[in-house]
Amino acid sequence: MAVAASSSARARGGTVLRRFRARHVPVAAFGVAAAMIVAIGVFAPLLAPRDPNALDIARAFQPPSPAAWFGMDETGHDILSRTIWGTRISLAAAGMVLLISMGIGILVGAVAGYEGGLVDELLMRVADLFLAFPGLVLAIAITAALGPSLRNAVIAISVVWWPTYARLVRSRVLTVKETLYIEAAHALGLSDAKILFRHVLPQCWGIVVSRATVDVGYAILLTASLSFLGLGSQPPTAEWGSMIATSRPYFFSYWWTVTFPGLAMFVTVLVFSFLGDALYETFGIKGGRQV
Amino acid sequence: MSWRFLIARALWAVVVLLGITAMTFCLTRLIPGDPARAAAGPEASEQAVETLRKAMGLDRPLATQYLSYLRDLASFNFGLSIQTQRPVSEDLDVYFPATAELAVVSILVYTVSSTALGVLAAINPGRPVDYMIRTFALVGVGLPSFWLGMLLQLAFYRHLGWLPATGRIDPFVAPPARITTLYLVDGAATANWPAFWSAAQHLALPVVVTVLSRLGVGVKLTRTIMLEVLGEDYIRTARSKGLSGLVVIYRHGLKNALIPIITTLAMQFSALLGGTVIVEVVFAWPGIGRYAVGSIKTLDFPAIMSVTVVLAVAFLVMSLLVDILYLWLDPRIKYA
Repeated sequence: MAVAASSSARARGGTVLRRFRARHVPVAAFGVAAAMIVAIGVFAPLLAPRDPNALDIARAFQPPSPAAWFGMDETGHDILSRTIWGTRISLAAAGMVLLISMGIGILVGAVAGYEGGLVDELLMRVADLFLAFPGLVLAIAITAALGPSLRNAVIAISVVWWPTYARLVRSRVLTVKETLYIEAAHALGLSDAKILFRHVLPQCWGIVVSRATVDVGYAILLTASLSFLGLGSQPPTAEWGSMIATSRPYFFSYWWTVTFPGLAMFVTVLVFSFLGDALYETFGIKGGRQV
Repeated sequence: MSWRFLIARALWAVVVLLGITAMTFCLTRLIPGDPARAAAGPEASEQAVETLRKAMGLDRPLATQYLSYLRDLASFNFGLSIQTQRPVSEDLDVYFPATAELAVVSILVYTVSSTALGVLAAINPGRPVDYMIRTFALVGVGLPSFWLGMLLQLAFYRHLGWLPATGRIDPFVAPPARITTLYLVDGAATANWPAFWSAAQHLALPVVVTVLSRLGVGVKLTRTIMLEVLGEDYIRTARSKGLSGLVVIYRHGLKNALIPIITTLAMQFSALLGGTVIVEVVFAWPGIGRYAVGSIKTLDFPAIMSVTVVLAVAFLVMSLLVDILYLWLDPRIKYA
């Protein structure tokens, strides 16, 4: 049986690769773009031409020039360096949001879908309750209560987000658990936990991963929005939302102070949402049909 | 059986309402540590804090506190705002109409434009129009709304001078007589055209930003649903009967697509409502979102939590309305 399983896995890998080559050049293109953005975040200390927090009041509000590509802000921070460091902070924050909300969401969704009955009803009603709030509003209330900081913003967004993952995973688990091979696993006498984690959940990865990729962008947007409102990362941290917030009083005269951090955010969000869409078309729907 | 559906929905709304208030209650009472200390200020003596704790009822069991919190909410008693020292309900009365106007206009514009663009894309699948609409919509969703708002202010106010950057009405134009509290409606009703025109100009950019940030989601949904409906047999029948293209698209296509489109609208409204908070801050729009954000800096919890409850309830009411609309549009549910 093990031999059959591994050979079928290989065959499937082959199919994915062939489909990939034939139709999904965009996945590769956006994948490379996303990898580059992640690399900018990871190697920020090496890439940034200056210290993102180095003050140089004498050069405040210098427009973009060959010496400082994105110009200088109100305290003479180099905007290019801060935008590069901002990539690192935004990606790290978005990553944490996804880890936490996926962790809770997958667990709740899997248990609800697998157990069914009262447990399902209860867990899903709790999830619905969280969805009954406009997300940003609940996130604002939670961060306000916990105290403004990037860490608390991440916690607040995770609290707001886990229900969407719970729903996604639950609906997938509901389809998967009706399949023949799960019945077979039951017949073999495997424990529920083993069936759930070894045989049901692996079938959910495709859809969860493609969704999470799209959500990287939205997590970045939401964290930046909270920072913009003064609830997330605090100045002088080089975070996109708080960079825009601190330069806001001056942007009518010095457009570059808010334009570049915003542009970086925009490009990042777009790349991840296009990549997520492409992944969904390649793996998500396919994974759905396979069962 | 339509009544059973409505009653079930209304009962669920009550449960959600209890859940929402329980959540905001927990946020105010449990997380900030000591609300009495927060209300009294860091300089207050231990004794003053103790007196205030008794006065605020914080020494009573949590369940009792929650019940009295509910009773207060039911009678629109939201407590005293720490910053303005006025009842929060008075503040809300001042700020809510602005948010309502922004939200209502945004929802109308959003519904019409996302349906129109989605249908236009769906009847031209694979053609340039389709790609243009989809790209435009996707790009809009990726735009950070606060950043887009500032860029639009830069373009339309600073450089072109066509539209105002902030506020709800020109400071030199008197607001229209208060009938509905919505400036557009009141301005038109009293034929106060200068006020109407100024209110419309002030609404333009905030509405564009609010709508654009969600438009892509709506367009995508409408397009998918419409494509599905247009693939049905009865559409082919209608076409083969020789009906003109527009009649088929509107009468046979859109009318059937509307039902699934409307079920998704409630979720969209939630996001739009949330989005207005950011937009209010960027455009100095005198609404409750801006009021709540301003309250955070002074740790004005009664204000923040009241706004949270009000927005959640507004959303709840809108979802109920959508349910009723849904019921009215889809006669099948009545006999289900």
